[in-house]
Amino acid sequence: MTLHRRSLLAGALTLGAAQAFPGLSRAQARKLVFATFTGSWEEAHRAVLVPAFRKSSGGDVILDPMLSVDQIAKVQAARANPPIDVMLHDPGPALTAIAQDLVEPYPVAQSAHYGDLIADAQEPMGPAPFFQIVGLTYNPEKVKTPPTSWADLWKPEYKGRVGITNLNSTLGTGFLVEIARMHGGSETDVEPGFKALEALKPNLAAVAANPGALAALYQQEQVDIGPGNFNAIQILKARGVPVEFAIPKEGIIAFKTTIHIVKNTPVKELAFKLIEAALSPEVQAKLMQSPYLIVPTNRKVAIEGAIAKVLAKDADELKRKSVFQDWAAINRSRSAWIERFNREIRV
Amino acid sequence: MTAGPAMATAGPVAAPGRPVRAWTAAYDIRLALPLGAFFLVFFLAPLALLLLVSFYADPGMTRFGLDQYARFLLDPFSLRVLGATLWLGVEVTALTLLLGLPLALLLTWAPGRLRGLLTLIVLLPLLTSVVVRTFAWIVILGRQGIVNAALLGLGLTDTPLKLLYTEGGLVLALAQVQMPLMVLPLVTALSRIDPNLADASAALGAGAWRTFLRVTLPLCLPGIVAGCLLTFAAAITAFITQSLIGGGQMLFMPMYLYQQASSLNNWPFAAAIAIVFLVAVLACVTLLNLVGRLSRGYAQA
Amino acid sequence: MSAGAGTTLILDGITQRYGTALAVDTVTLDIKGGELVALLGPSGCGKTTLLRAVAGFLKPTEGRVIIGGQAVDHLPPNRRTVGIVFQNYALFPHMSVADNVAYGLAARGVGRAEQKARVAEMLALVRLEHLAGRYPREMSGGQQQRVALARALAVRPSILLLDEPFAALDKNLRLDMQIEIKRIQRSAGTTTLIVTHDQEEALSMADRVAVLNAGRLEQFAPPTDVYDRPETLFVNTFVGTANVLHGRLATGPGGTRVVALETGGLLPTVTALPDGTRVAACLRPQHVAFATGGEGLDGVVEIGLPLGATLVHEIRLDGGARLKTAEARAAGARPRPPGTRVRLSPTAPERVSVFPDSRH
Repeated sequence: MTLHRRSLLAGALTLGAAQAFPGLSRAQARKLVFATFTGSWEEAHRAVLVPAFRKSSGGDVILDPMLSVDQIAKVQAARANPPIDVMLHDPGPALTAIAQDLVEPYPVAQSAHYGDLIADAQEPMGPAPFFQIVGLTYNPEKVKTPPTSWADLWKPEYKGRVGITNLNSTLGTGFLVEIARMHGGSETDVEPGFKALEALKPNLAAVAANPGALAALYQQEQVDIGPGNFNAIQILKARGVPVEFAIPKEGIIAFKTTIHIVKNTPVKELAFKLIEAALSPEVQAKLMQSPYLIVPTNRKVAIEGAIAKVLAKDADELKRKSVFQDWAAINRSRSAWIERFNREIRV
Repeated sequence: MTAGPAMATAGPVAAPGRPVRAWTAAYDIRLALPLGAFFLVFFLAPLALLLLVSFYADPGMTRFGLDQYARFLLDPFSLRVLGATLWLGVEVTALTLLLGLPLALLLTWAPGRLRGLLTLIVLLPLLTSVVVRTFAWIVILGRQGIVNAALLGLGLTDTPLKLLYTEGGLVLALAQVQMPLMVLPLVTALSRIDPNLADASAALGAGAWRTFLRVTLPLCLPGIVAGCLLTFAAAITAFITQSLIGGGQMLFMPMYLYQQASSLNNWPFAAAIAIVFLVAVLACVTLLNLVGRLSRGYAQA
Repeated sequence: MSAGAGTTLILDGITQRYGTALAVDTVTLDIKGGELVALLGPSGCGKTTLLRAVAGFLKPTEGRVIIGGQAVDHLPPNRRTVGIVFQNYALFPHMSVADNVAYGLAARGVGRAEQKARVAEMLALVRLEHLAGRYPREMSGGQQQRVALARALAVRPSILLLDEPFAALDKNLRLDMQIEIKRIQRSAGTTTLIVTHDQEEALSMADRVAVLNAGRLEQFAPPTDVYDRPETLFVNTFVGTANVLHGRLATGPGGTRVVALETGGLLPTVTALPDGTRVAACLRPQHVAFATGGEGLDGVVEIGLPLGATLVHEIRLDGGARLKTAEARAAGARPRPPGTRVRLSPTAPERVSVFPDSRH
């Protein structure tokens, strides 16, 4: 009941019209709607996933890229007749969607590929078709010795050169947890992380509002070093921006990006087929190639190219190098951290 | 937006001896119904929902209470964010007025062809996306940007200055981004001033400054008030520019609200922030309008 | 208000070009102190340009403006002691009447007490003491005009300029204001230049009238001279009404000079122009007499109108030309009926002015 009222109101806020005129979206027999992420993700999915899905299922799909929070709000607003059939989420929002009962369990038994996924990618409420990798980003023209540890960010020589994001993003939150761990903390104890951020202040050139804005700062050479998303860095690099990705010896932060069947979707079968395509080694192998460089999760994909060179040669090495954080624990206290970050980290 | 108001030709302020007939509300009120319905569905109804949500005491929305308002209004940090946001608006508005008024004067006095060109330059920002304009400012203000390159080239500084992600840089960028909102009402007000008034003032022995301060400025006060209102409202709510030029550590109300709603799913607190912000902005607008009303005597029919 | 001798104003060879267009062509006017001069002409004749040149709002292409013996061409408007009343009065809408009048005094650094006294004096002069606290928009056109006059006079200008001051007033008010301004100008003794396109206004108010046409000065003379002895065809037709007949000069029987009209008939005149000259002959309607015999121009009455004290006829001459006549109407007199044959002649040969015809 509680959950229902909450979602009703929250949904009405963002999509009052759908409540008022439910017939609007029910009227036509729909195509499958996949809410992917904006930008390069959409490009990659449009170029590789959509054709593969059409071939394997004979069905059609509409890409409707949006932020995780918007996906959740839209589905909340019309649970009985959701406007989206397949959602894509970072770990934080994924847990929110599951907690709010917005997604179906994945029909694991019928899946041809689920069993081939790396263990960490096997999530029964929605498997991970790829990982997002966060490591160290630096400008090789300014940082002559490639960094090898998160601890390098605190070096005095990087005074006023480090860029991070605030905790609104998965990247920012993940970074905080990682440096907390480095100093003996954990997902439930980020106090050492905040202490470390405090100590990082003299080195901070910028606290960007989101990872996209942070990437732009490398382009402007406003910052020279900091945590960065592997894919975002590859895109910058492809545009000729002098950036490199380095793996810290503490391990790369790996986020499972999970894909979910929305509860009450009228096209459940198609939704399943789309996800199957996303998990298939063929699609993942293609997405692994330049310019997408999306990290695969299917063990059958032989890792090669830039990912093999920079990250890992195979799934085992990837797993060895990666740190997966406990987002269930993070979600419980993230609000308090954001509050604290707001107050304490002012440059 | 069209060039309409800006291009309004300067007519005599008053036609003496020719009484101007007041518009009588002879039009059928039903003509306003479509707009009224539009407002009801897409503005008033969501606003009412927002108000309702803000009265939930907890993020889970299980019970009603004033907790969210208490949380905001009793928290010095939140109040500081509100204060910083309003202050940002004041700074941007002041700078925009300072830079916009000479531009508006130039535009008003310029001969035909130059005037068209200047109008285009003023309007141009409106024709490009605010995101594009904001990114242009990142390029201008960055360490490798035009400003720093010039300063370094002239030997005025050895290391690039930090301009991006500073309040000064933000104010500057916002002032440029919002400039048309100030200049257009100013031009409209200025072009309505009878050019003979400046001549009359000069013939009476007043120098250019006295004419400007005693005649031009008071007479374009309605335009100044309108421009300030628009600029202020636009500057304090400019989420994109605030977050891209100001950065993640400079917290203003729009980002605060966004954070609560988007990253934390705390709808009631986000709604309360929105309502508090709305009330604060309305208070500022009312205050400015009061100034405007005092100056209404200057405005001519 | 000190009457004094007033300040002289000389416009010396003023020429104003806008691009290739010539707005004012070498106009020279020598205006005596305390004189009221009207610049009369149709719109576009350059009269407003001259006014603006005197005020200093524009710098003429050539020529000098000399006020009280001093060339002022290098001085900006606020350094010339010239008061101006605009056609639309240009009162400051955000200031009360008193503040409007005090504006120039404050600008010239007059002390507060004196400002107050002078404002009171000026408002008394224009009979608006009781409206000192009003705003311009709360006043009638005539009242606004008097405020504008008081404002201009408050700084005791050496020259007063009035730009079409009565154009925005209705007819009844206009006459009152003309008298009023004349009265005030007399008592202040201020040299005054009025720009107008209204000949009655110019003739009734001015000591001398400068008639302008297409940027040229046609005649600069007292109103009676302008009317009675026009120096150019333009002046003759623009000031008052005139019948214009075209013909060639000749010497008639007995050595008198005549105009042999193109449409037939002879019109006696007095002129120094040689025989054979193509001329335009002007004859005002009131100078046309109905002849009972002797020489004259024959025609028939087309229409006759009794206009109160005057009787007006339009006659079609046998040659085809039309002529207007005007005569004092005796009590009970009616117009001649249409179709009546009449013979017309000028009341005196001197009344027929001839000007070289510019048509050919």
